[in-house]
Amino acid sequence: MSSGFGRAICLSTTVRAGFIGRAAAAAPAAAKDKQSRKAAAIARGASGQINSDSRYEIMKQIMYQQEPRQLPELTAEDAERHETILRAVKLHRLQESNRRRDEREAKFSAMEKAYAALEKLDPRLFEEACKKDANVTFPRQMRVPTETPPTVIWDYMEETVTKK
Amino acid sequence: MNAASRALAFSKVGRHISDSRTLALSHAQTAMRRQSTYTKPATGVNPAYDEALKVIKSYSARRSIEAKTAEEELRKAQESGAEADKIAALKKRLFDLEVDAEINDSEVLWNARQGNYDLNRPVYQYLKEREWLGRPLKVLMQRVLQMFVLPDMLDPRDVGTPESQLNVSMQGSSVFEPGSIVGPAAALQQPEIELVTFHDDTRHHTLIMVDLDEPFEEQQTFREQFHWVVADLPFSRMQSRAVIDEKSNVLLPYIPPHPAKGSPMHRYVLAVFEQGEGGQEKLEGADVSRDMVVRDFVSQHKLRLVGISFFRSIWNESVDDVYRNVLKTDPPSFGPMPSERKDIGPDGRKINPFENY
Repeated sequence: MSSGFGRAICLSTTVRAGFIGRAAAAAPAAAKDKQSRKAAAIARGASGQINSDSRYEIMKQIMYQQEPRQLPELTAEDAERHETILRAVKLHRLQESNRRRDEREAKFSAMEKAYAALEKLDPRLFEEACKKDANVTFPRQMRVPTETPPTVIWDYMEETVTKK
Repeated sequence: MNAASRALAFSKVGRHISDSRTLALSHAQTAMRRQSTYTKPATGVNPAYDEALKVIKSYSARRSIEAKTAEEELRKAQESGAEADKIAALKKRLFDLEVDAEINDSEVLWNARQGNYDLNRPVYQYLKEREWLGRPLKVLMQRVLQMFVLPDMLDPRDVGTPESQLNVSMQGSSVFEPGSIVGPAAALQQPEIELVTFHDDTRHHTLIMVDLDEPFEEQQTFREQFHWVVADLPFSRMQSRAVIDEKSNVLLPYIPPHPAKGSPMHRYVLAVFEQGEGGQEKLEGADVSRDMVVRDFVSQHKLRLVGISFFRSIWNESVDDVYRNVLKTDPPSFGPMPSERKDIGPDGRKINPFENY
């Protein structure tokens, strides 16, 4: 089945073709004088050419060739299950968020306590610890850059840690 | 499914919640006022649903355990005689944990949606209050302020937001929305009063019905007129319906609305006030009249507004019967006075408007 985007591309090319066709037909009509143009318009109306414009036909085909998407029909029981699932997901996300927040706060408070202890212990070391690097870049402590990469980039045969 | 097997089905659902207190209640079958109509969806159909139930159950179990420890803490604090605000904080924490333990349960939410509240359980108490604060309170305040009931009757700064839900229904009708137009014929008998409160202790309340737009001919304006005053009405969380009979302290018997012909739409306000000292004071032998002012009445007896509702009414032929039968007077008719004719002189002849003619 062609995607929506593919269908749009099809539409633009065929419409452009339609435009070209119309332009070619219109060019000689524009050259004629007002009387003959009026006669041509009447003739078009009489023959039904306005209603049988190919662009409208193409648009109708594209719009109506596919059945409109049906929403899944839920019974009362299914709806109840759906609501319960959404509630449980929300609850799970809330619990995860709270757990991360507590972890973050615990880490920060441990840092604060460590700094307070250091300040009491040795003021000079405390001053050094408080100094921040003015030029903030990727922390060198995370990985020392090497020129040659390791022999094993990624161990594909390693077993992943099994879930609890 | 007969009642017995339905009762059994309910007790099975109760066990699923795995809280000993609710288990005891479900076995006792006295807590729920109406049988729960909830049908549990089948498991094994949607695996996501089965996992969802596990998540909800584990969270609920964890919160129940926390609630038990909070209950222990509260009991110790009460026995050791801690300060009042510390005990209040512990009570609030216990209530919040008890609510959180059951608020994700599908059956509880279903029952709340059907209006089947078991007010012995904290989760239903919370859900009922939440429902009142949702739409009904907002609609009430909109109508009360839009129709100027509050600035006219009482100072809005003193009132704040009413904390209880006053449901008024005329005899033989359902509860009307505040501000709705009620025909005078529908209000000939005293209405049925229900005050939904959210405190466990019983407090005494005073109910009044006031017409804010009674025409006052002497001063060519409008004034308040009391239609009904009943004092010492007990309300609590479990007792919300008012029983008004010979034994009640009826200070002014009920007079039906009588909007006079030619007067504009009248607003009839029903207000319930909590009596002094947290609802413990009684209003025995209070001096009331039909022509007093609400502000004076409220300040004299130290009343606090907790519930309000009002309806509007206008004249029709049935009002004349109220005047003749109940008030024993001729029905009045108000209208514009005929305007003074300025084009006729003292001799009765028309004054010539043109000077030089």
